Amino acid sequence: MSKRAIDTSTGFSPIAYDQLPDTQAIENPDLDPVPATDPPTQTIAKELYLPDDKLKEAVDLAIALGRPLLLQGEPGCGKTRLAYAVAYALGLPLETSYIKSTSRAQDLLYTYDAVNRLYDAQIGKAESQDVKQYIRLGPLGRAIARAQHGRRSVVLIDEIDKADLDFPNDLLWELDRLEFRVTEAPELHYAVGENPALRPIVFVTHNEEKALPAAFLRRCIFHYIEFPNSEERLQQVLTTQQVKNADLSRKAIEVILELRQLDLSKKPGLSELLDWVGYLEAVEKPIADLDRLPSIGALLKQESDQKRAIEALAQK
Amino acid sequence: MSVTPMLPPFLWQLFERLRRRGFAIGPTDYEALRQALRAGFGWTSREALRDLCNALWAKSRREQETLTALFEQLAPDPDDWQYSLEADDALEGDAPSVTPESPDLEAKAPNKTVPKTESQGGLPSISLADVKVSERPFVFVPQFPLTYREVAQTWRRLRRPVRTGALVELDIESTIARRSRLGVATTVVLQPRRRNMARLLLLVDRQGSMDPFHRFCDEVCTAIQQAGRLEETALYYFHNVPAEGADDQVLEALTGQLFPALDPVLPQIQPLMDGCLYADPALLSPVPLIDVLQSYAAGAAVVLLSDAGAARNRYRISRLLDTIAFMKALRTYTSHYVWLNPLPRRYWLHNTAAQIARHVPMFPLEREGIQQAVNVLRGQQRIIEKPL
Repeated sequence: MSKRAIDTSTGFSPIAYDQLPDTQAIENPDLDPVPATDPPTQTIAKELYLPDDKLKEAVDLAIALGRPLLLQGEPGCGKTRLAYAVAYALGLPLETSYIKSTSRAQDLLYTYDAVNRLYDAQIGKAESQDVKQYIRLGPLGRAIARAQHGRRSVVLIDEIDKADLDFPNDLLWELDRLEFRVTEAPELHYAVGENPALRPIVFVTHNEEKALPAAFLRRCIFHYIEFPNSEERLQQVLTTQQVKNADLSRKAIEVILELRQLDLSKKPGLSELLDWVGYLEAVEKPIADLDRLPSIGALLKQESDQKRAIEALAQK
Repeated sequence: MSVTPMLPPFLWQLFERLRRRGFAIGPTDYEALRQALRAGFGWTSREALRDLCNALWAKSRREQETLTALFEQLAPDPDDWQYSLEADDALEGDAPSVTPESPDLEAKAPNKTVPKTESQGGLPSISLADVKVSERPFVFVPQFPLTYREVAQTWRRLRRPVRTGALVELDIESTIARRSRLGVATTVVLQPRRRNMARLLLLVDRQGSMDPFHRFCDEVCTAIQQAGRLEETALYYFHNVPAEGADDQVLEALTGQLFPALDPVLPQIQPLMDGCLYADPALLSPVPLIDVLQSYAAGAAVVLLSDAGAARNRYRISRLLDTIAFMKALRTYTSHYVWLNPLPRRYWLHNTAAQIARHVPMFPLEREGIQQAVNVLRGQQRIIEKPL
């Protein structure tokens, strides 16, 4: 593992996230090739997010050390949305990569469209001589190319455990060195370079479905996002997510904390709570009805869990 | 060059203890902590330092628990912590290299209430003021002969890559072959990507003599299931033997021996598939053995996890016979099977396990054992005394 310069010039915690404007013009991340200067921008809406202090500290640490931040936590606790929030806070373009079971590490860097090139060569197109026309950069590849042009990016690698075991292992070198060469066109070489303030900020989310290899884990900063443990904190989260009816959310929090005490196969998480409260607020459900768990499908997704929850709350 | 501050000595101690517990951390990780501290992280409080160590060194929740417990044991309480920082400032630049400090075992008791005794019968009273107890003196994290990582790493080697699924990859060879054969520009040939299609059936002995090994076996099975990246992992439980009721008439030829080996009658033993496996570890929901074998065993790798009578150190001919009859049945489905024994090899000497090990590849449930077991499951030849 190469030793890296530390860069504390950029941080997430000094930014007062709640005071940022509701929309911002940020560089459009999807352009390939990445424009060298004057990149076109797009208007991004602010991600409603309330990170706790520990999480902010972990983000700062990952940025300073230039290592990927590996996020774990219950489904629906906001692992993915953190990347959106950080990108918004720092005003950087967000490169996203949602991993599938067939994803390969190389796809993150670039893909080579051999089939199209073959067809083009067949019909005698002149550009088929130029291999560069058929190289498409992937999310991490674009982030590295953007750094070459002197601009920073945030990269999100979502649900890395979905991919094959080789996936994280194949990324080790690129994440370490932050450079890569296109095998099909060796003259294409992308590198972040020496300036630590240009290193892409990488977030990796992980659902504990499968264990990651130790070599990959070693290179990450690890953070486990806990379910908010206090009523007050949950209330803040709901307020951040623009739930206005305070009485309703107080009651809903009470119900959900009670449900989480039960022995359920899948405990309702934050995103379930937000869905549920959002709907109940929209249909103006009377608060007294909440004990009967209306629209329970938004909270609990298994029939046995639903039955148990209804019984438990009825007994009260 | 910037001056490198010395880290408080207890951090080195913490690092060493974590390494002893099998954390995958090395000098670069220690260096990372030093870098982070130099960059200003983790100074605000004891908790902040602990969180920093957690972020850098612990890579799962369980590891974080261990680290937190050890940190609580080793870290001095906040007053001393401040003091030790000043002391380090004084030493700054003195010795940048990391040297193990003398153990700082004086972690003071955070609870300041000191129990007092009252003197009775003229004896001097005892004071506990000088007795130092850490807030969390014990780390309640199980340590097994095999760590999760060791099992996971070994089992990842069990792979059978097969091209399956959607046609997405260009098959260059076939495309060239096709075009040169037909002489015209045809469409390209695509092929699916490779995936690991290895399947595994775990059969775990439960209760009775296996009681002491339940937690250990659970740990091993969980690691295999989570980290194996296999196409399918089925897990079933049994008690003592997976199948029971083999025809013991074959044993009549062996009369007169106290501890008979089955060798003379081995060919006469018929495959046996009568019996029940259980889908749950409490052995409450039975599943017919034959169903499990038909669904999961064909062409799969099969692992039996049992002490094979070694825990009680007994020789039972009926157990041996049932086991061999079951193994014969298993052989009609797959030739890749191993036996893992939670007891070390020296315990197998004079009991059923020794006999079973003569017919079935059996390995102790330890690092080398599982490596050899995976080798056998991958198809490596293993010489056993009397193959079935």
